[in-house]
Amino acid sequence: MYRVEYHRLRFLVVDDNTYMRRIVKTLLHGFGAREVFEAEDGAAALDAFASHYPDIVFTDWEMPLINGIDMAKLMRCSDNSVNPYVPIIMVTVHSERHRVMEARDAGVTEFLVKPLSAQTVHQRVLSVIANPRPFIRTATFFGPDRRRTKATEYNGPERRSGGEAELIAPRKLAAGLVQEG
Amino acid sequence: MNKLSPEPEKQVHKDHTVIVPPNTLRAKALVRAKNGQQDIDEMIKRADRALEALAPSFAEWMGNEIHRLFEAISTFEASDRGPEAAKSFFIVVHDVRGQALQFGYPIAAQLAGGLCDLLERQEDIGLPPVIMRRYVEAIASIVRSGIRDEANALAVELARTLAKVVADYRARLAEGKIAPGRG
Repeated sequence: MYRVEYHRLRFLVVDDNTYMRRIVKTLLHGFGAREVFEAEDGAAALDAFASHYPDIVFTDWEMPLINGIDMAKLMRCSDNSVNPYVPIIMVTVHSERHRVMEARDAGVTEFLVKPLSAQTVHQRVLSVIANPRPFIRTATFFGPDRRRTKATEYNGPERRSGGEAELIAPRKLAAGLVQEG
Repeated sequence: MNKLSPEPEKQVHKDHTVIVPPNTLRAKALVRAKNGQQDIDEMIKRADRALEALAPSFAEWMGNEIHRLFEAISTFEASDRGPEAAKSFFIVVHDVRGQALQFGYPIAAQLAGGLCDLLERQEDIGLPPVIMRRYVEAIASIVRSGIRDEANALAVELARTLAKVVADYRARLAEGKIAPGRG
């Protein structure tokens, strides 16, 4: 059984709504986090990302100017991104399948649907730390592996060459946890 | 990934590369819980208590959001009502939907969600501002009355009436009896 030492982590909370930033900050502080930075839009978030090196980013979807999707793409794919592998947790009321797919395709790591609770926020943080997915780079995508599980019943065409290879990395990560456990 | 971090492990394939970044967060912040699940349960309870301490402010915060919603509909009504103006209004309505869910106003959230859906299809259906304002007034009425119960008769009636107004508008639009944007 593992616990997260929140006081060792640095968070960035991005939301144009001051009350929602306060909700997320309150939960993180409640877990013991000390370093929680805020940004009220995507542009300010990119500045904060570059200057504070957050370990984990929480972001809203709908924001003026640069929304959460575009911000995630910039954090992942910009040439001067300080950490293209940063876990990005999208906080939103959008729970429709096409929205989840859009977020996933933008490189978002986890999806968190409102209303937030301590349990759901902690689960997502634990997930990105304890079970990170490998990253995939193709001509059109860069982000956490969009295949969370191996679908044994899938019998369609393999869309990636070397399809077995991506299973190696999760096994390695899991092995690391077992050795420590 | 800063310059001090180890390099990620890469496996290059014909059409994709699998990259395993070093798990610096696990090394930094994941530790064995001395008392097992009890440690985690206590931490979650602590955070829930911190959130509960904010709850007395939720009604006031929601009231401020409603004020913002009225400002947004007024701005939209005074605008050219084009895609940009609709998008700005949508962002505020969407915010209100999220806040209503978080602060315990599920029917207000449902109505705001309905208005968001309509605004996302605004270019096709041209919902008239008068109907949008009825949504805003219904959301405000629910919040100001402190209605949090999903089965509340007034809230259910408001939601039913709005759904009928929109359905009637869309039917007349489909029949060609009105032009988009005319209520």
